[in-house]
Amino acid sequence: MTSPAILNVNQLKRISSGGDSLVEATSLEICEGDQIALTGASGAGKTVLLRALALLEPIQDGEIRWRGKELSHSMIPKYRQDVHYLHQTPVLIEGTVRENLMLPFLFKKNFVENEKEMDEKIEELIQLANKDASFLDRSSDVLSGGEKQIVALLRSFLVDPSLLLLDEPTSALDAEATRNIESLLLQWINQKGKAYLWISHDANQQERVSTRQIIMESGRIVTS
Amino acid sequence: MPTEYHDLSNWDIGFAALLIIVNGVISVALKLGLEKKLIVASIRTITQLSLLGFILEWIFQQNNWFYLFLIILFMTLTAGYTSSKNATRFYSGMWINSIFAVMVSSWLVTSIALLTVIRPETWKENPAQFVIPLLGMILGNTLNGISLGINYLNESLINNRGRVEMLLTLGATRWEAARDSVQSAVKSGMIPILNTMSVVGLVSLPGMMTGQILAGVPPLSAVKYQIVIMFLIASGTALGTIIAVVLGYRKLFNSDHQFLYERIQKR
Repeated sequence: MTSPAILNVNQLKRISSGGDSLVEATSLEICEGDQIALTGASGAGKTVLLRALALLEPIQDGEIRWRGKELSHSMIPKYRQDVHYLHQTPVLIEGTVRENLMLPFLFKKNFVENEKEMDEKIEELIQLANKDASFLDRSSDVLSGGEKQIVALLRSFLVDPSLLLLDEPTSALDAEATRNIESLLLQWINQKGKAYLWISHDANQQERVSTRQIIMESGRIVTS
Repeated sequence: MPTEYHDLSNWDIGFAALLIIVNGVISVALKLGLEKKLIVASIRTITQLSLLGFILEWIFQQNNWFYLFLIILFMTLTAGYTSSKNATRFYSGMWINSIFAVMVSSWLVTSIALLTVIRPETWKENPAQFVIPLLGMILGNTLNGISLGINYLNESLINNRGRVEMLLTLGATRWEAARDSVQSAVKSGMIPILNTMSVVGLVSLPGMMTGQILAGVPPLSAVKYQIVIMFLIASGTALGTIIAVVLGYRKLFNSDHQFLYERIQKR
């Protein structure tokens, strides 16, 4: 029995403002628990596809259905939490790690009513990342690249996405930091049974992290 | 008692022009290379202001609503266009937004002033004499506010694109993602007028009040006018800046909560 589909993408097309076709006639289904590596040469359209799936880029044609439903304007903020894009370079705000982790809960829709429950969740994630409680009080500008990516990941985990769109999350990191991020991601994903679409250029990493591979060429999916 | 109004002769203006010649001599002596610019700027000042003087005399004599409308429309369009012209980044249609913001804010504030503060019985004999200077002062300041506001908005959104998109991916609405930039843009548009209001009378004597006092108006009467003008300028600037910045935000974020960064171009 196949798992329920999170995303059904049909004939998606993204054209740049200059008229260049960046992603063309792309169709794709991603189900709960799918662990997919997305690969292809630079400029093949991988990042654009991920950004289009996160609805960060306007699409010119095609359709994205989320859990069988057509998306309306008002559903989009909620959709972006469930189908969540993580930037290649982590973006943190000025302030402590805790303030960064609490950021999504400052939005009107996500106001936290039970602060104790939130603290417990953060505590659990900090342990998962092998950090101690003092990490929460560190300022974001003194963190290393790997630590910043850990904070960005933990913040993503807190919004509880079903599908993570990972745009080369380890490309700027050294071998050790890469291993830490990989292990953190896989632990959380396997624990919670989440799905991901992970852009990676590293064939070994693709082997390690995925059960299925998608290859893109000139804006199209050539192998799925 | 204040002295009577003293009309300046052409000789008086000539003496003032001598001071500019002194500047020119200094420029030559220190090799600043400013003498040409000084001459051009002085000629422009004489020409533009004389032209304005003739036009105002003519408009006041005509006392015709249509001519008055034409001149305030010209002033407003020039202010609106100027406010978007010098921005380092722009989006298509920005100048229309600026003209709209300048027009709505300055015309509304001037109308309120004419109908409630100054009262129609004062100006109904010769509306141009009140409308043109009032609107001119409000336009001059509003255009600065709008110019600073839209420039700040575009710069801030482009420089913080990563942050804006990060907030969107975490479930922020377009307003939640843009709010910091929008608020700071409005504040930056308001800073000059807030500074002016804070030091008015301590550091500077405003031009209009100085003019009135020189023309023989008692200082306390001139002060009352100046207070009203400052409040009109501040409210016109605030309203114009808010309209221009909000219109920019609406142009750069669509209802799908997407930041349309490609619309912002460098000049």
